Amino acid sequence: MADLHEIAKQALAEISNCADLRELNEVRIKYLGKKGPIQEAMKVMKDLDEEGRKALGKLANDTKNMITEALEAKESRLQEEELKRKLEAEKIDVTLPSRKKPLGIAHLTQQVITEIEDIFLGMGYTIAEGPEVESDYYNFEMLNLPKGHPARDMQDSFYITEDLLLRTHTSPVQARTMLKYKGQGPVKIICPGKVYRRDDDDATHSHQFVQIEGLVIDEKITMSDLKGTLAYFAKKMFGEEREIRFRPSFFPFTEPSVEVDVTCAKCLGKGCPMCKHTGYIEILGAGMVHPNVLRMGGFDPDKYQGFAFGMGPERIAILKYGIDDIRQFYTNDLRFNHQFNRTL
Amino acid sequence: MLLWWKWLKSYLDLSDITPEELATKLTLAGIEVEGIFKLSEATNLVVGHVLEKTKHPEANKLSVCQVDLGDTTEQIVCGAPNVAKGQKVVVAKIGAHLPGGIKIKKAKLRGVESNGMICSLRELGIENKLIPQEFQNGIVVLAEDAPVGANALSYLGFDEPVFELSLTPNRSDCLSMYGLIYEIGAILNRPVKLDKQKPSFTVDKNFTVQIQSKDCTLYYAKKVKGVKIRRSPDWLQSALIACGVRPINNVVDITNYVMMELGQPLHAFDLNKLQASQIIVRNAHNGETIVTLDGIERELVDTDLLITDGMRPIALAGVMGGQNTEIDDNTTDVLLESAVFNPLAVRNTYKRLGLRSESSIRFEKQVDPERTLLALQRAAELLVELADGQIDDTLAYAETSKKQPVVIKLPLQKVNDVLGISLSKEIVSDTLYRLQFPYELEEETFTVSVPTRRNDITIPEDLIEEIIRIHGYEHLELTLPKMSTSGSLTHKQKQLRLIKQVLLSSGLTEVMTYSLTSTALNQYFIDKAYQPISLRNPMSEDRSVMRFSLLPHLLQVVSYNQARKWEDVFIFEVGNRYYFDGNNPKEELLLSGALSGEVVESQWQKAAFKVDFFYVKGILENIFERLGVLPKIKFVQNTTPQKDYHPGKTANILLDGEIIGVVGAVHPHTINEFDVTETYVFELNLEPLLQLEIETLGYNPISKFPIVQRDIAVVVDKELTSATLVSAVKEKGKGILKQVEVFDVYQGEHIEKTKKSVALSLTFEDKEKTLTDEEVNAVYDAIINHLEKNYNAVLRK
Ligand SMILES: [Zn+2]
Repeated sequence: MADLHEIAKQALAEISNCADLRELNEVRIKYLGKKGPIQEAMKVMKDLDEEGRKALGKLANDTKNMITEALEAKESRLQEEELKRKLEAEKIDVTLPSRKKPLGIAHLTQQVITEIEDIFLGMGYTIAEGPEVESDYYNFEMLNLPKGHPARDMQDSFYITEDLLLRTHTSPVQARTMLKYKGQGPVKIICPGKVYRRDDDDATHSHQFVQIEGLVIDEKITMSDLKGTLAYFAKKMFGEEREIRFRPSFFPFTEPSVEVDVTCAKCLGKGCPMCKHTGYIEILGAGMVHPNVLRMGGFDPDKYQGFAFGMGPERIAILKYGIDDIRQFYTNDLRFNHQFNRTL
Repeated sequence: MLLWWKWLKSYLDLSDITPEELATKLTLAGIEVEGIFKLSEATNLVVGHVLEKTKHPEANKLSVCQVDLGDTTEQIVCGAPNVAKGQKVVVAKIGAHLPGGIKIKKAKLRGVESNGMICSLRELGIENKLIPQEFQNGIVVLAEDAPVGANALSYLGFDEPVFELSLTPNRSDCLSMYGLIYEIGAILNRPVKLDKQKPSFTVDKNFTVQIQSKDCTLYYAKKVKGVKIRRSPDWLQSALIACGVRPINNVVDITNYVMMELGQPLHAFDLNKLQASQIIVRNAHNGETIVTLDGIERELVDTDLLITDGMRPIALAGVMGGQNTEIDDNTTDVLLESAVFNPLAVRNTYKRLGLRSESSIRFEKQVDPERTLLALQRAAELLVELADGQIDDTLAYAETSKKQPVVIKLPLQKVNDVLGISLSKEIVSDTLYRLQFPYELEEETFTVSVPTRRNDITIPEDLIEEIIRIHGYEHLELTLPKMSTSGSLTHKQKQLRLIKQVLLSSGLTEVMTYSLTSTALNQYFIDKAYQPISLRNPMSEDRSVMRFSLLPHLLQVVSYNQARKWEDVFIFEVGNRYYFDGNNPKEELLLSGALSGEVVESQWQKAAFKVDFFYVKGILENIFERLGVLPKIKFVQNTTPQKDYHPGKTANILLDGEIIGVVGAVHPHTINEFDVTETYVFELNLEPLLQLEIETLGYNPISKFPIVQRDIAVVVDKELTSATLVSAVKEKGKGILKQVEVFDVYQGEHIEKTKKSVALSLTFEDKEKTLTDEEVNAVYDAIINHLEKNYNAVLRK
């Protein structure tokens, strides 16, 4: 009997000394195997009386259980340690460059267009489109620019035939839209698109550029509505702290006509070198739709009033990012395009 | 337009405002001040009197002058050929600074002491084109009565600022001092009244004027006799230089001065050179010629308006005088012309002949008929004063029609309806008074008589603009239109945004290239005859025709970037193609892309692969899937593609059997021509894709029963396409074959040269029950049987 206690003691000591799973397995075979010391101790069983057998049996069983438990505990500890070592060996340098398929980048002009579109979509506008190859009639005459009008010189045009030209602004889309509405308001659209002027390409001029114009017509549209709309737009586009101002101007298709300035990003209106000390930067042109334009578009100017505005997304991007050459927008030097890889 | 402070302040009290403050006010009122400059930035200049001039002992071209500077007399060495004893000159004293960083110091010139410098206009900083001919190569000589010792710049007025105005095309009234004074008076709320009563006259019995063209409505001619041609006084020359006009002689200068002052261009003929005592205004005959003042013979057309003496043309109306009646040094009698010509006629003539001048731009913008006679009288009086001319009260004239004065009814309600604010009657009245617009107010309605100087104002809206412009746009409210519209994208716009999203997340960068291209580039990637849209007035051959394909410009972008060591270029563009369909211009929205180089996922893990046909095809399939049209799309081998495509690596893309685009490798010849590395391109016509009605997406319940997978490998004819094989397999699927995928294609060892081995993975599924081996086997066997029998396939074991 004392043997079994001794065996248990010895087994526990050996288990505790095991350094790895292989040693532990040897201990297991040594003590719990068919030729192990417990089996050996059991050989005296047949010489004992029943009570003695019972006692020995129980003791042997307890001893086995004790050893088994110890083995299992040790085994799980060893497994844990081994896993830990393995994981340590698998350590990587997480600062190495990732593995990824690079994402493409939307063209800067398109990013600005989308941003502007979304602001106006949120204000209940829809987006109208129209042809780039236009007739003189839609591009000029419907916009109060009859043939021979000196203001046509403001927009030197590429002509295709006597009557066809590349549109010089997206206003013909407004004209077409007005006709589509057949004199029934409300109209509330913006028209983004490519336009063309007969300008030599240089750092500030491009024979092709993008314009976004807006048109709102209804019975009681006022110039204060125009100012409120553009003030809201300027805050959304440039930041809540920005304000706008109107400066009188001239466009044949609006009356009154204004240039719209937004407070300078840097000085917010106080004046600094960036805004040539004016405190403001010109961003768009606007005005109340000229009664002749309303009339030619099929709207009764005694009943309807409207406002219109136009801006250049490239110019807005130039102001926003300080780009020094408009030709960059069409060169597609990927070192340029890839700089604009996030919104705002 | 240039506005000289000195001239302006002779009419308006400007003592309490700085030029910068005025510039801001003008800009905010719509008269944009682009810049303010001074004619001369020099310092320490005085009027000197040349008392003595002797030859320099050592240098032929130099003179030694004794010059009275008021407080002292200094010895000054001068190199100008025109310096002479007795002249009044501009002297830069010791310590003076001249433009260009020159500082005047005591100096010895070839051994002779010089204490200052006698200046030319150029040395003062005046532009060459404004310097009178006689002073081009020497010093400026002042009038005899110039006060010795006085500040020379103040004497000339060159220390006063000049405003550079950028006028909108409607404000022709501001092309004169009078117009600007009215405008600035209104802005500063200091109204002035300038236009005087028209002078009375009697009709000249010895001279007649006839108008024989609709392009002239009013013509005055007045004789001024006995004039002496000489230099104009300094004040007049200074005023012209400040306005950007070069002084010539007193007669010409006076006509220019009055034009600047009143806005009415004038012309002076040498009366004695006229061949008859008459003026006949008529249109030119086609092919008729006139030699203009610049000595050039001009061939005319019948829309040109001519001034003739009844015998021959003597001037191109409003554009340029004729050489035959030019004022010269011997002129004694002058015929002054002041007239109103049709803006369009003047415009057409000067544009055609390239003769834009201060005169023609004023006629083009319409002159004020109320000032035509005033200007004539003013010039005649100046000729008396400054050229010793003699006048009487006669003149000759003809008038064919009178401009009706514009009267506009403007209800106060209309003002406020347009502006969206509530201006009072008092504010509107005050603004009209500031503008010097006569009006009557009855009830709530203004009846405004628009002065003829403001030919830009014809409708109530024009007046409303004037009112708010002068009152101030800062008084507008910030409101939003009260209307209930909802903003949303159209189906087409939404789909387009989606397409771009797929491309961007596939690693393609969006580009924008020009719509105009060259005829040479427009030959690439064109697979059908079409009528191009070409410009009538291109600026260069490079941008002379509208593009039919976006691919040439995309390849240029690839080339541009690869030349700059950006090797892996993946780009797309959405843009129109343009062509004529008969007489109608057509535009179609295209989606095009170019991919060249490797998709590099990681440098250090060597995770990179070359772009190939299937990579591009995959991107396109993703687009079609997102658009919901993938089942309607087929990629069909095109072995005879357009010349710029690789004949073995090109496919047509079909939507419901119609070709909507091409995807393929660029042909090696084209690769060379654009100087790019191996490149794959695609070009799709988006119109049919975006117009397609998409079936609404339905939900399919997920099967509760397991799927069964079987792989097969068959050896088939090399030319048999994978698409044919897959559809052959599907044909026998009996409703339980869910999916067929090619997972391996093999040619080489153990396979005959004309054959290939294709491995397919088949997925079976039944929504109702678990499939048994027998059920799957039956279908599987039928498929094999079908392939063996009809496609000459051999099952690989
Ligand atoms: Zn600033």
